[in-house]
Amino acid sequence: MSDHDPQVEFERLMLGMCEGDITPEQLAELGALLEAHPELDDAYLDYVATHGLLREMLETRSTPIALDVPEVLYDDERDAPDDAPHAPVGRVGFAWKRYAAAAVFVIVAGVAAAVYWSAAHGPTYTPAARVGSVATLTDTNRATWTDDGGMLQPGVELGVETLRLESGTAQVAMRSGAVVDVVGPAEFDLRDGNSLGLRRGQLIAHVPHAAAGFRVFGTGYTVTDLGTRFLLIAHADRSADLLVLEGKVELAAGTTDAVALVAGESRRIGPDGAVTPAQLALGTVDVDFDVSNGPMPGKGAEALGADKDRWNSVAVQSGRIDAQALDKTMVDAAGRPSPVRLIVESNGRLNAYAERGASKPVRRDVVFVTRGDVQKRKDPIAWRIEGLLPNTPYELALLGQWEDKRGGAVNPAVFTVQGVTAELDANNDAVFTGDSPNGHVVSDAHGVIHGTLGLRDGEQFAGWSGLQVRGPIDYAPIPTSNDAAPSAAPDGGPR
Amino acid sequence: MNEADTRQLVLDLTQMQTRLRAFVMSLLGSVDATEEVVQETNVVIWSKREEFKAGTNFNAWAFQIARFQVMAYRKRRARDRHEFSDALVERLGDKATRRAGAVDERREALRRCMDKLPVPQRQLIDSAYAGHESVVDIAERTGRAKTSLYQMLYRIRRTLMTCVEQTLGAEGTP
Repeated sequence: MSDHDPQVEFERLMLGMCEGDITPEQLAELGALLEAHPELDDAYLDYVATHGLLREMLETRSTPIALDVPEVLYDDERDAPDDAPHAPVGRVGFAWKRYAAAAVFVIVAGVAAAVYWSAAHGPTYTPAARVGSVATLTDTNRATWTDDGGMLQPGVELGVETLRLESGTAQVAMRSGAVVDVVGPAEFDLRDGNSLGLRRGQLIAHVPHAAAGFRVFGTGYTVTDLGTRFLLIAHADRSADLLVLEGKVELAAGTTDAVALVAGESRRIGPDGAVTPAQLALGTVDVDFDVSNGPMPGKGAEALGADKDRWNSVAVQSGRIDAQALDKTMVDAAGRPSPVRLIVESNGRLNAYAERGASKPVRRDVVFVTRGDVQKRKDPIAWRIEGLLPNTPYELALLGQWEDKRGGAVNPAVFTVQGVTAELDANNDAVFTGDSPNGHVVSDAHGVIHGTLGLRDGEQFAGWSGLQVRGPIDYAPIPTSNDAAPSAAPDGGPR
Repeated sequence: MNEADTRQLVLDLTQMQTRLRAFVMSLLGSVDATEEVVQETNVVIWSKREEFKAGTNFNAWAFQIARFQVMAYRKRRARDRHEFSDALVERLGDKATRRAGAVDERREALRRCMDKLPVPQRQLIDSAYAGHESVVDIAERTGRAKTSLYQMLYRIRRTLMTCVEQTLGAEGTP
């Protein structure tokens, strides 16, 4: 195509228009081009609409007007947090003074005072590490979503949007560091990095002190967490139940003054906003996790309200994984990318791979379970868990067996951990205690624990079903001789 | 119009400011003219709020008002030079108004398509549109040439447009 091809000219002019530096002369040129080529109309309108929608969806709220949040659902002026984020500088394209008209409008519309107030005092939150998203979906368990097109998988970045969880559970790490476990059926709106609206359903919020001020907006009430944990159930009749599991929250509902609730206290909020004492019956969250026979036992159902050790659920991947899968970013409890991952390689080629994105706020447990085999005629297999804290003790468990299709147990693989052969117990698993006086494994100077998988003499085939790492164990990192230099990997460990 | 309806209208109008601005921009091209017309459109919508029938398509109604305001603006500025001719504005206005009814579907389709973007593309488009930094800032941070970033953004937008059209087509949305 030549430079005078209308399509080429159109693309050139639209690029300028989208980036906001089109001159009046170029704009006239675009007008003439469109006039002469009606076939370009749809493309032109698509560009403008797409650009506008992208701004609508991705631009972080920054001025006294909320353009993308259903504020009217939450109708109490006490919703208003204390301060507002700073206005942005420099944007892509169409250098619109976007909010001026809306501001005029809101001034005209006196009834919108609550809307204005609420938006003008947007919640305080730390700017996102990945701008544009306000949260990350960190875990799901038997989750079915309404109309998600299969896209709502752990690791996906979430923007300001409404999510409808038909069944199962989902964990969302807010950008502020608050972690929310949602039990379906539920419908909730992510509003910004430290607040959401719960239309219906049940959630438990785990809010570290850094995310204090995390808010859940219901219909006619607001729960403000002051760095704690709470359970909130929004019923279909617009009533709700609130139970404080730990710390302190503030509940504002109806026209009465806000009340502070401490651990163990609960309240029912009626459809009319009336707040009354309540005795909540604790339910259970069903998690797809069962290593009850493993060396570090876990349960499949966890009682709400009990401050038990919470494990992250299980990621299973095996075989050859494409590059895109390796790009998944894990996120820790503070919403930061977490690099912890298990990689199993055979002669430099990826053999299995598993990762889990979430860590719970209290401890940073990571569970890896995958399934693989070791075959005599194939290359040796090395594994490593990367992304841990350097020179830091962790509990490490080895799961060395799985059943074949007929239910028969296959031979367990032989694990080595940092050069030491692990002894498996009668169940063919073990907590590894081989290289630490405290019974823990110490990561190397690069935050790696590594080892191999092999066969016993005479065996042709063996199975292994996973590794678990838990920690870091709560004592100071142990300086090691690895501090000064990268670890050599005599057993084929980290490269 | 009762208070609940009024609040809903406030919400709807607040939510649609960006797409309203895009609509007007598509007919005028000029940033300053767009601002003026959008402000006027907001005021007219507010003054005509009693005429809006709850349950009907608010986007289509508001865009129709915006279209009239575009025409009124052009008449007021008849002596000025307009980059787009009357005939073009009329034609684009017809098409844009017809599309207005499907803007929510388009938004949802775009959301899905963005989720399909490879991570680097998604990060770039997130950064560019979040408003925290300009394309120049991104170029400096990433060590890329500004023109290269513009081109990449343009390609991503084009990818998204294609995906949106396919998604809407598959769902039978006009």
